[in-house]
Amino acid sequence: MRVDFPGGYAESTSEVATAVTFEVTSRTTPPGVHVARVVVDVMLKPEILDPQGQAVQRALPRLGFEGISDVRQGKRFELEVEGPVDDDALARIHKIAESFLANTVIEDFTVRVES
Amino acid sequence: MTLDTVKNAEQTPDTALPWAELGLKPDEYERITGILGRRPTGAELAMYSVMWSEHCSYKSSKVHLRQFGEKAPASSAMLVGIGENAGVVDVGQGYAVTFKVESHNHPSYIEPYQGAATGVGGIVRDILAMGARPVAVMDPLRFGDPDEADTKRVAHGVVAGIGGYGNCLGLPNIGGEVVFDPCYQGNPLVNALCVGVMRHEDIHLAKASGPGNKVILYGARTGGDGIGGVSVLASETFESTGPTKRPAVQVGDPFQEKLLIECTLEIFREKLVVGIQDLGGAGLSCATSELASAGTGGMRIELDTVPLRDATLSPEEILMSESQERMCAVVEPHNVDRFLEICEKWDVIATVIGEVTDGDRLEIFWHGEQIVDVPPRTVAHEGPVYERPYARPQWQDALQADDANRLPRPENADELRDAVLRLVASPNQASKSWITAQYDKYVLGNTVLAQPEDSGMVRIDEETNLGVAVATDGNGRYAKLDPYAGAQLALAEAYRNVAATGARPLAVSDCLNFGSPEDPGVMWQFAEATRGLADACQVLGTPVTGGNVSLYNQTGETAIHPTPVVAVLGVIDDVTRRTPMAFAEEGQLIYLLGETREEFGGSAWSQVAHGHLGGLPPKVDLEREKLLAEILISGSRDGMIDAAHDLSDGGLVQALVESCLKGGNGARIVIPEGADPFVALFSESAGRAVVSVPRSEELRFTDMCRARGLAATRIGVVDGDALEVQGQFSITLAALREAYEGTIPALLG
Repeated sequence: MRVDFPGGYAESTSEVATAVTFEVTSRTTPPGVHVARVVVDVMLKPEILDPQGQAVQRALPRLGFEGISDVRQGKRFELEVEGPVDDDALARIHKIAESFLANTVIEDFTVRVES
Repeated sequence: MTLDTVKNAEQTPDTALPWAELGLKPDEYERITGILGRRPTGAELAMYSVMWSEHCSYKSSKVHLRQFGEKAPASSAMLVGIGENAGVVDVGQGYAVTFKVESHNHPSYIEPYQGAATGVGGIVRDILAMGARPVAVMDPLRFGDPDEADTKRVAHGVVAGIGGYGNCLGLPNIGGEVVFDPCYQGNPLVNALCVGVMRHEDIHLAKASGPGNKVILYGARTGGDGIGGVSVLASETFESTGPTKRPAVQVGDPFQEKLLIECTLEIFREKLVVGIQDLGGAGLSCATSELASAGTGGMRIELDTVPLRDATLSPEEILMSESQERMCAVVEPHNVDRFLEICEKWDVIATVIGEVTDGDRLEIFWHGEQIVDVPPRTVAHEGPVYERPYARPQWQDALQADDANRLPRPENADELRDAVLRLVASPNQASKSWITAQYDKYVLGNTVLAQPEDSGMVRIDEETNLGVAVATDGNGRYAKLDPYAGAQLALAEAYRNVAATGARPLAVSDCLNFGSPEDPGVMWQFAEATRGLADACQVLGTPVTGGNVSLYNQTGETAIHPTPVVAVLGVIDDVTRRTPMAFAEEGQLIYLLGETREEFGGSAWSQVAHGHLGGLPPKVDLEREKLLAEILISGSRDGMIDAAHDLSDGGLVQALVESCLKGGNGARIVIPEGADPFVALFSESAGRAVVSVPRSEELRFTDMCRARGLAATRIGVVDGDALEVQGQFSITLAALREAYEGTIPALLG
């Protein structure tokens, strides 16, 4: 787990992880400026063949990892939103996800606000 | 959910089944109950409904397709004719070549990338199932209005899918075409062709014989891909405890297919297989019933042994699944271990799912209970045969009377010059290299010619330089004006294209794309087109070896133009003697072969300048096409011509522009005495080609043409850096290139 501090970041230790509630900051905006991040996760619909996931799953035993019966691979988009993440913004992001980030013929998506 | 076993069906004759929802007609359902002597089980209903669908049974087209067999010209080159997965042609030196073209139209509108990708996968497996190593692919494509956003969506996806699948498979894409027309807006056409090579003794057929022989399913796991109406079975009549299954879009996995190819070829090399079939439309239902039907007639399958990707699939769904990258082989018991060993080596899942029996029934069991007991022939080969009514459309006469020859023409040299630039810059006439550059043309190292050359040509023997050439054509505008002539023109063009590169045409495969067979006008188009194609094959001596029919390509009342895509395969003894299209050498003489008449019906000019489609298509003269082909082949073989390019859409001027730009050399053209410049340049009369003749060969070449009775007119010389038509205009190569090469990137880039 990584903790973002203004001006840079540091590898956390488990002590820090239990003690700190952390603020999401952008890697590109100046320290102290608040931005909101919305995460869109895109996954193939459950009935669709996932060749990439299958390739990963088949490779695991070869690398010495047992006990994994299925792997499915998706995409995670992190969107940094200017302004407040209100209902309007969420509706816009939903539209972005539905028309561009995901191919809704074969993929599903979820939208989650991180802050 | 209660399993609907055969015993259950016998005991519950009054159970209502959703046969109508599955697309069966009342008389068809009655026929099924008559065949079985009871109501069908859910699984049997699923099998019949999909195998008797238009796509699988060809019920509307069979009566017309019979002509291809009935009128087939005698050809010593045919090793396997219509009926098998693909046709096989003898090309000499002990080699046999198999090829076929198929459609994947409707899926490509829904999910363009995967629709096109799985189209390539399916045709490659058909070729593989014949015993051949696939060596090349080609894709004839038709899209809607290029200015529409949805056209871009479809085109981008389709092109990416073809490239993504074919390139990853390691197969060169050597040709095809891209045509835009509003009639294809909601119904794009994605036809896929594959060519494969083998030795004569390697030919495999799709039949299961030898009681006791094992049936092995190998390749990918089976999931819910492509299952449509079968979900109705689960929800309507029987208790459904699981989630409703959505019809899942089939996703192609080219890496799995590559493993399948290599695995299968190794299995072939060790002669482990008695019969083999690939799984395409209708999946296991099709493979098992067809293998059984073509063989000695009996088969027993333990369906619960099929390896699944989705453990919640019902038996009906497993039978209908169209999961990709699967094959079904019939193997003698003593070869099974070795077969499975080879599959293991290639990391391909393989499972013995049943065996051939000495009865004449296809019996399928689910955990010991029998759910299917049918005569396989009734499922696979004795489906319904419709005699659909057909009638010449009311508007056909008016369309043909709307003579394109009367359209306003360029009136002076400036307008003529403009017309040339507008023509070569129009989407259908412009360079498609933005698209074709996304395909790998050279993988495997045997590609001799690829698009934009007249045919795709691959070498099949590195020692002797034996090669084969394939060309596809199918002008829907001509076919709309006159389906009989249009189909003949498509064959003539593909035939001419093969000959232009120096190869001798041998055989035909066709992909017939039409609207709804329930429309008598469309059915008339289909009847006429098949009649035209069968008749023309007879005259040209090139039999139809197989092909595909795609119907229901229409949105509401608007059908696509009848689009009979014809593929011609030819052989060339020495690929080093092939004739490319480029005017590569300055000083060579340009000859126009054939005769030009005033023929603008359906022409590219009439579309570009006037948005017009009317009149009659160019006249067909098949004897002339044969003569032209012979001249082109002799000229190529004996070194009398260094370049050849056939004339088709866009007429002479299009061919000249293409050959000049490809060679990087201009041409000084003189319109023949007495001829009208516009007609000479833009008319689309058939049976013509331009050739570039070295001065040293001129006499020999013209003597040959004169002796054979083919009109050969010297029209100019390769020279300079402009296309100059004396007394009319001069356009620099740079200007032509900008017009020709700029359009498609601007539209799709």
